[in-house]
Amino acid sequence: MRLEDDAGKPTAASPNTGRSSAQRFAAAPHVGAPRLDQPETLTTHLTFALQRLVGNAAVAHLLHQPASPAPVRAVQALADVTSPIHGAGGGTVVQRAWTADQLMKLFGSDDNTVVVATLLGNGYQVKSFEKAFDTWKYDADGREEEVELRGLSGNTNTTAKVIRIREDLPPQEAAGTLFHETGHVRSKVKDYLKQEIAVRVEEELFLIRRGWPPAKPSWRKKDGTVDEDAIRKDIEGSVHYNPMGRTRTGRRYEGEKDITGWKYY
Amino acid sequence: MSATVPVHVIATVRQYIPDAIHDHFDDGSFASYDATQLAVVEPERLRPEALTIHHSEKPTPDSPWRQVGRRLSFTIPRDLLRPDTVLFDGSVQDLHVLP
Repeated sequence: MRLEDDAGKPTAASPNTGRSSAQRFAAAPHVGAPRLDQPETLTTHLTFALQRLVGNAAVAHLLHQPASPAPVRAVQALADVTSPIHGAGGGTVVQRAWTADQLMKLFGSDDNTVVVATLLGNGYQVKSFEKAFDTWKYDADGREEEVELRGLSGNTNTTAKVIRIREDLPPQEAAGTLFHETGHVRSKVKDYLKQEIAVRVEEELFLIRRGWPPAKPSWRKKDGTVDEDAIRKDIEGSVHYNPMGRTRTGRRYEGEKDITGWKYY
Repeated sequence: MSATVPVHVIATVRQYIPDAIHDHFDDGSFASYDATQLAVVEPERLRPEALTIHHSEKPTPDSPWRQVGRRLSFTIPRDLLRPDTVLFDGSVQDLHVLP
């Protein structure tokens, strides 16, 4: 196989290649929940909700951007998906699982059209999953072992025409992942690495349009535009890893759900 | 998941699909797997289904997995032949090319 570590998880390019926004957001310390029993301004409440959802760094990035339509749209869209819901115990929690409707709002009108046209036009289904498992057979003793495929954020199966996105991703992260996966469906580039480069460039342009942070800091130039050379260098520097002493026999997904309701806004 | 009763399959290569699955991970890593889509000849109960075998490693250019129309014989564990399981070539045993 290509690009895989000993745990069965692909390790792609250089170790730092293409850090996803999930990791970016997770790296920022989260703040505690807002004191909902006290009066708060809408801004404060929204900020807390955003911080709980995507992390301090992402919120700081959004709130400290120079005034421009894209970040404003992004904040408004995030506000839509972080509306507090009341828990059974009387407390207020922030909804974290994503829905089709949430992602479509996050995409914005133009990118929603691109994503929905890709899905509907090519007959693709979107499924969420909780966990993925690969089964490995060991050469030495014929033993089989099922290993969780940790950190799989999403994938595209062009044969089955299914795009899978992990259920526990924050909505913004899920939106970025879905945009990336549909990029593989749209791409006419045949070569594997060249297609990955093209899709990541397209994804980075999407992140810029939304006013979101880069997938990797070095993938933006100082003027805020996409650094295609940096993306190409990272992807083409990928390490090809072959698992030794074992072969993959199958894969299954746990907690799969069909995500429907994709429509044009 | 344990390999149980092997099922003997005769199938014809219908299509070779480069990069049939793209995986993407939280840390930015990625992987891609080619696949071979087979039309099952035997057993009869599998005939309506197209059987897709994904390749952990890219098959060599002259591999029978890439040759459309090639008839193959192999066994595969019965418990992997489920709709919720994505098959990889490690599940295929006793692969033979038929005339």
